[in-house]
Amino acid sequence: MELRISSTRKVVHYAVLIILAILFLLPLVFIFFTAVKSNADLASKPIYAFPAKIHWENFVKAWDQGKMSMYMKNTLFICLVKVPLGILIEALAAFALTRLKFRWSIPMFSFFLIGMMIPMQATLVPLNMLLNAIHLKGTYPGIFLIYLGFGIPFGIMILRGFFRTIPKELDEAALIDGCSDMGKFLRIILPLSMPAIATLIIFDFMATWNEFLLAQIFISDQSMRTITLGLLAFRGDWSTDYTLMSAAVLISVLPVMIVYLLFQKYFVNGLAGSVKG
Amino acid sequence: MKRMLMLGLTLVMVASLLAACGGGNNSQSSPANQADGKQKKVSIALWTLSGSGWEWVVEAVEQFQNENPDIEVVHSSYAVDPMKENLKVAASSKTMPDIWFTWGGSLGSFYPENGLALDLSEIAEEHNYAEVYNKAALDMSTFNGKLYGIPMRLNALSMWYTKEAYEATNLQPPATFAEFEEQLEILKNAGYIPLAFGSKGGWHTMRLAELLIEHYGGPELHDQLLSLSASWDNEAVIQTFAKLKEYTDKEYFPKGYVSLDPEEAQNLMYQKKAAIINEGTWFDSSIITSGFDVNDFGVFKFPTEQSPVRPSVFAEMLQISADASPEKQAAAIKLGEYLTSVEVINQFVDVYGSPATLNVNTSEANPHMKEILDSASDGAFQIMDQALPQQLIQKWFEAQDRVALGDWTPQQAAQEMDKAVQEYVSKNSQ
Repeated sequence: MELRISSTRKVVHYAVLIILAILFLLPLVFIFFTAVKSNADLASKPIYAFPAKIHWENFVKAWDQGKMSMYMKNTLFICLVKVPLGILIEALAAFALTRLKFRWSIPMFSFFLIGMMIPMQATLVPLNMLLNAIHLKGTYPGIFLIYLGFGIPFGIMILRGFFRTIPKELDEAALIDGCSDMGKFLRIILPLSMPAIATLIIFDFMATWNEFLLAQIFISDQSMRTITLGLLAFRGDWSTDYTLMSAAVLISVLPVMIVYLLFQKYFVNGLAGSVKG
Repeated sequence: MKRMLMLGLTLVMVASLLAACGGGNNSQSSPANQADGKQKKVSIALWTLSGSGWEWVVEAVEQFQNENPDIEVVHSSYAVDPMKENLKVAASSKTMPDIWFTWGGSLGSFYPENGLALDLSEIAEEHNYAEVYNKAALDMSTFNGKLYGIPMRLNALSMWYTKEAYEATNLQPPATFAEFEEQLEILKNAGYIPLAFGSKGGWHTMRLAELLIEHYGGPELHDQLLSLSASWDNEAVIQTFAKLKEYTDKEYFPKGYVSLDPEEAQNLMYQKKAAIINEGTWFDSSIITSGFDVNDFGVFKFPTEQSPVRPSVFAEMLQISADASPEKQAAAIKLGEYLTSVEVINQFVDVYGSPATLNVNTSEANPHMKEILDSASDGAFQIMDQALPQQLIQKWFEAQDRVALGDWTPQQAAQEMDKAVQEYVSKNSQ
């Protein structure tokens, strides 16, 4: 009897998961169908119709016409600088907040969290004035400053939560062995926090890769444009080339998928740890 | 393994720090006049739209720089919505570029109203703009009697039909409004969607509504409504809303058209499921880009039964910053006039769109463009979403949808519109 309940539960469990998986995959299937159709095929048949002829060349066209290599290179450069630099700053801040005893640690943590509550849209005008005044508008250092500023609160929240789960006894043992604060951070806390850091890498990489609003305002130079801005090149004043845009979208998600696959085994542990205590 | 990962991460962090300190390799921070020290260059920032139909600007700007070695153009291009967003942010933070693309009407008038755009009236006289640019385009670039933009494109709208639907039903383009309505019924009975409109965003159905206002109210009242000098709670507006509701109830529009994207409405034309759509001078190139034959489509003037039969038009222009230095302003004017010159337009005539410049070649790739532009030669009215202030046009879109969904009666919709207009007028006259 118990066995039957357990197998029924399993069937229901899998059925729900399969339905959810289909629901999540369906938009991707439609994007794929659109990416391999001709414009006429797309316009003359419903979006869910199977392509009359598979146009693999759309991916090549999207790559060449959409200057995807340049946009991907730019975005990758921004991600490779911003993500590790951000995590380093966030980890140092979280370490100070959890391990260095100082009076204002809780108010300071709350101060960092306030950053998460400010809508980006409200900051566009003052940030534009600021960057213009210090001649950093349209430059990489300017972009990094803004991206780091917006990313730091979330990173500190995740890492602070995780750092607090690491037993204090380890710190004491390190202290007895003559380890400095920086040594503790580098030799003990950081290695033990790999799940949280991997989680942050995934989140931060995805957020930076997909960021659009700030990039569209603060990157005016065509040769510095990121992938999200590049995708708009397929949209004219009066019409949109959906086939090439879909092909470009599929190409553009590949790096994010690679990063996710590389770090996903740490992902759940990292999230679980960050919300404890 | 962990040690390797840590080492890798540390290396990336160090590299990141160095890269960040080094700054961007494409930084714009070095001014052009410091570049070589030999010749003093004027550097100007140009903002235009991007995407298909705007690729020519890059080549034209390069040519301009070759012909004018003392001017450097820093060209940034944006898609439609990012362009509006960027201009808004730049206007609020007083960081406008030296020359920028904008639309006419209430979108373009924002900049002169806030002292951001340069008055070009004197330049226009000196450079004889009246003989260079189309009068309607100049009028639509004029605010409070002063010219604030170099006209770039003048777009006119028309009714487009699929020849297949008209041939299958033995119809000819309608000459009267009654004939137009008869045709809608015939097309419906023949299995076609008579009117391919998508109301998502409001502006597509608005194009039909403004033609109905022109039909019921006539040119004089229509112009008065657009200039907010007549009450919107009048018979012509009520009849327009009533007609929209009637067409909705008779299923002349596509199913669910209130939330339908206008591009999906276009697809219904390509699929030959729909018969009539309202599009403009650009529709030839949209048809070609979508992989269809322009010869399968025809155009006709909406039979407003008024004299003259006026189509809807709208202008696009280049505005110059009022805050830029006189050297930059002079360079920007030179660039603006170059980008709208006969030579440049003739060079890029197939992709330029419908130029506001006179005496240019016509494109064979856009066979309907001339016919549509000619239809505006006797007179035209400015498209409603450029003629009305933005908050009022949003009210109109809301009214259209509410009437279609049965939330408001046509009378209620006209009253609500009038109320919004009165509020706007009293607020702005204070």
